[in-house]
Amino acid sequence: MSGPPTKGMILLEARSAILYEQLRSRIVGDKRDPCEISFYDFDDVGIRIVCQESSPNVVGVHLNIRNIAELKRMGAQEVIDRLYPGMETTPADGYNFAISFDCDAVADKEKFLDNVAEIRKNILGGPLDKAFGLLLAKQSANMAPMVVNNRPDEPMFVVENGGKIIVIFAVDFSDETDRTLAKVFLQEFEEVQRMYVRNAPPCLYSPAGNPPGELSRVTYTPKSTLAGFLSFSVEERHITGPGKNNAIALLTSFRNYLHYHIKSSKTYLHMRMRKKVAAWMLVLNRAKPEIETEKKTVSGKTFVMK
Amino acid sequence: MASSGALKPYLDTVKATLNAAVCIRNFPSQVVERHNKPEVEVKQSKELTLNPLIVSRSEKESCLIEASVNSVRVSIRIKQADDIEEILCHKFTRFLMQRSEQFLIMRRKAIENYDISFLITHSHLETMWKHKLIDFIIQFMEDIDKEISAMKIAINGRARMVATEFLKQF
Repeated sequence: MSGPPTKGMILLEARSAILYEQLRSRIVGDKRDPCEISFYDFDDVGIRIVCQESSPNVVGVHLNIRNIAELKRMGAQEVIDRLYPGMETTPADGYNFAISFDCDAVADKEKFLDNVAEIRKNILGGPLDKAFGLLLAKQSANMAPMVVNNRPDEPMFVVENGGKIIVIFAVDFSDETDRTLAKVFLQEFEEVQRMYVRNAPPCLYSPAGNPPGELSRVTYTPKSTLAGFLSFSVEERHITGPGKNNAIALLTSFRNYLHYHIKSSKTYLHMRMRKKVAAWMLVLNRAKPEIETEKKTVSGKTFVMK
Repeated sequence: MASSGALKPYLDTVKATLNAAVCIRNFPSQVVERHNKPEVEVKQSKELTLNPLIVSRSEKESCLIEASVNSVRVSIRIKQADDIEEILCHKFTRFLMQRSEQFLIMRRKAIENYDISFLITHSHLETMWKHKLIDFIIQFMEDIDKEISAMKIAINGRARMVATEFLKQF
């Protein structure tokens, strides 16, 4: 199942467009020439697609994920074994995870292509996959709280509480304007869920000085530039069937989604201010009297003043 | 809003005060030969500057008018009710002050405790109508409040839409 559909430019996709396009021609199509393509994706994840001349049907996908060891421990290993069985291989220099597969030997081509194109989300979502799996199997009661550090100062906490999985994001911004805007956005999430979108997991905004109760079970020192916390209370009904994959895609993209929209709001404000300045300039120009640049004498001779 | 009833008298007072204060003429510096400085900025001769006057609408909203023989300085404190209005106002005034050359009469830095300042000198009056210049300042004061409120509402609207689109996907 591919990620949530993009509505114009509002939602972010879970799958990497570059990976999808490059691999489509090889997995579904029959492109077999050697290549080496490196690029970056969200969360500072570096990706490289390698195809050697000696084995044109074998493609290697190398990734550099900052907290790969932590993720593997917390559930990503099971995801890798499930979606990319037997494909794990030695990563190249500068990368810390890799899979390698034979394009000719792929069974369900479209499905596998989707899985590889979403590899970043699948691995980063490992802890969520584990937690949701436990919830569905009704075995989440003794789940240890997980602290996932996809980014250095912005941990995501996955904690079990009362038959629900609470996913808590610590939202941090170094700039004060961003912080204030973030607070507005986070509070809207809570209100919109409560009033309009009752089907979504209940959201709770906690200011930086008053972290949510679940965090008392983990060791965590908040930074002074924290804007606050947003907690999603995920219940079984949110993750049945295709909902599980959908929820993982949405939650792994939450931080990037928030930052993207805060930046685009700043751009919007900038455009508004420009427009206002232009309007005021017009008013100010009215204050200048019109200077005669052309004068005529009675006999018709014209003088032009520059 | 109860305060919008008090807006017109506030602006009318500022307009009348400015009309009286902006009675300036060219006056070369008494202290340095061949120099012509705005006396309200330099403040070197006590007899050339008048008493500053504050017109306030409330504790948070006021207008400081300092006059002298050849220049007038008008400083405005804009109403900022909460965090978001504060950063919007701060961003907006910074944006304006960086473009102060375009605005001719705007000061690059606001006076302490105020959000934005204008400096009108006799040379401005030689190229612009006095009543239109004062109209501009009054309109500016009215518009900036409206603009900050509008930006705040726009931000809230955007935040609402961003949250709705995300949550709808569950």
